[in-house]
Amino acid sequence: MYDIYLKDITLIKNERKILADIETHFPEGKTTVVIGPSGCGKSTLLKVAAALIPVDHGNIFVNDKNLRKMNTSGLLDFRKNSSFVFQDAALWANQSVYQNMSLPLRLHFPEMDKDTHDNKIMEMLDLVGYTDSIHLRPAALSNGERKMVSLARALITSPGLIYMDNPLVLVDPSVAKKMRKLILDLHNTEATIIANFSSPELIKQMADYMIVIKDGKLVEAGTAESVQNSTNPVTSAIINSLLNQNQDYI
Amino acid sequence: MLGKLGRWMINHIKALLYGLGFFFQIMKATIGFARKGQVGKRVLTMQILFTGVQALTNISLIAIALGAVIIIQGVGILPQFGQGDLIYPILITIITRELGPMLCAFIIIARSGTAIATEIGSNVVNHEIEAYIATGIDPISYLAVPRFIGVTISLLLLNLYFNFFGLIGSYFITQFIHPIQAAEYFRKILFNLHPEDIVSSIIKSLVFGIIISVVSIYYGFKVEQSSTEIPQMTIKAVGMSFVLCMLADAFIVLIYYTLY
Repeated sequence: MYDIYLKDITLIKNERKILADIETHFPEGKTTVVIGPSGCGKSTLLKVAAALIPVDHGNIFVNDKNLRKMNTSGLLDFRKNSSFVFQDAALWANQSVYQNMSLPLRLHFPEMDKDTHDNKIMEMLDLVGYTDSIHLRPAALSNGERKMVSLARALITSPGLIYMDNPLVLVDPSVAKKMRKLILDLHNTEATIIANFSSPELIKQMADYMIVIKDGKLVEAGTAESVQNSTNPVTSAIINSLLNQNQDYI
Repeated sequence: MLGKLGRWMINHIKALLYGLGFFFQIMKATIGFARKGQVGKRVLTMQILFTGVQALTNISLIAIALGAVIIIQGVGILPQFGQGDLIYPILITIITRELGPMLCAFIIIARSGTAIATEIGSNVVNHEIEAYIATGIDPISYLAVPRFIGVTISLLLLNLYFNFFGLIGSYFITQFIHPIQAAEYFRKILFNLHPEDIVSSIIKSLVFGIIISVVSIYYGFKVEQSSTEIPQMTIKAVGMSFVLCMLADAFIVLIYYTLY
């Protein structure tokens, strides 16, 4: 179980503040969805919270331990128990589907025997509905298949903390439906989920907590209900444009 | 004007310090790689296969051709001055000490340096580096160190091949224009081949290997977001590798002639 706390996070790129003094909390065992207009820094915030991008100022606390000051074994333990689903799959192009799935297992469970290792890979691929040609490289897969394999790779170590950066974007409706179901199933586990979704349905069904950001600044944070009923005009405008659409977009 | 010059200086000093820091980070990770059982061993094997084994044909042909050129030119000119036997020290100076390591380095820059910068640049653009970090894999240990070790070892081995084929090749060419007994040819080659020639050649190939790998990896990681940056950084990696190899060569030659 992971509890994440961001304190005074500032990220500057090309003399522009991408994130400015963000201070927020992602409660353990809950799903927190980051929302905001396009280009406001949602993906960047997720990557900062996952310590994938170094920040110019501020600290990330994982269960009260400062991630920036964590030693190598502590950081490896954090990585073992967390995973990140990227917007564009980010599969390792020079490795087959099998190798993409195998690398996290070999790194974090070196003692695992070959049969258990292979069974685990097949089990995860079966879960996402992709068991064909596991020796193909990502370039030979469709976009939807890549997304599915990416989700399977993220879940193979059974992480307690999952970051999801718009995993449903640019996938066809049938794959999106399947992925949505898998993601909703994750909501019923004890995992802490920090997500950026653009699907209104998924936000409504998944969000326990919401964080609203605009232009890299925190507008509001709280339970999904409180944010959706907020009187803050910026929050209301974002909620209206994002959640109160007639059509669900992916 | 002064302000501009100052900023230019500061930026270059910063870049130099950053590059040195990057180099020392790779060195540190290399020690860790050798000590621990790393998942990057497959990457190392593939790098040696690509850089060391697949370049073998090119290296052999160039070495034989170079040996032939030296013999043809030398046999045509040197006897006119009564210095026919000078062909052996010339062969050793050119093949073993100078052009062997340098031509191998040029071939590796063209083949592997470009490939490394392009591949790592693509990894950055496609967020594969972030995926490695998210998984708990240090990109320096997993991507940089195997390439660093692979290129350095391969360049050393290719240089040995180059010497072998260059000296053997020149013997076969000699048979066409000025037949000579194999025993006599190799006796004279070995007589003129001094330990310092071999040491100089090995040091050069090691230094060039380190330069090419570190520079290519460095520029690969300098790609930030766009795929258009990849060819730009690859060109920079090639240019910088050439310049640094030439400077290192001049420096090693200077030390060689100071010591011997």
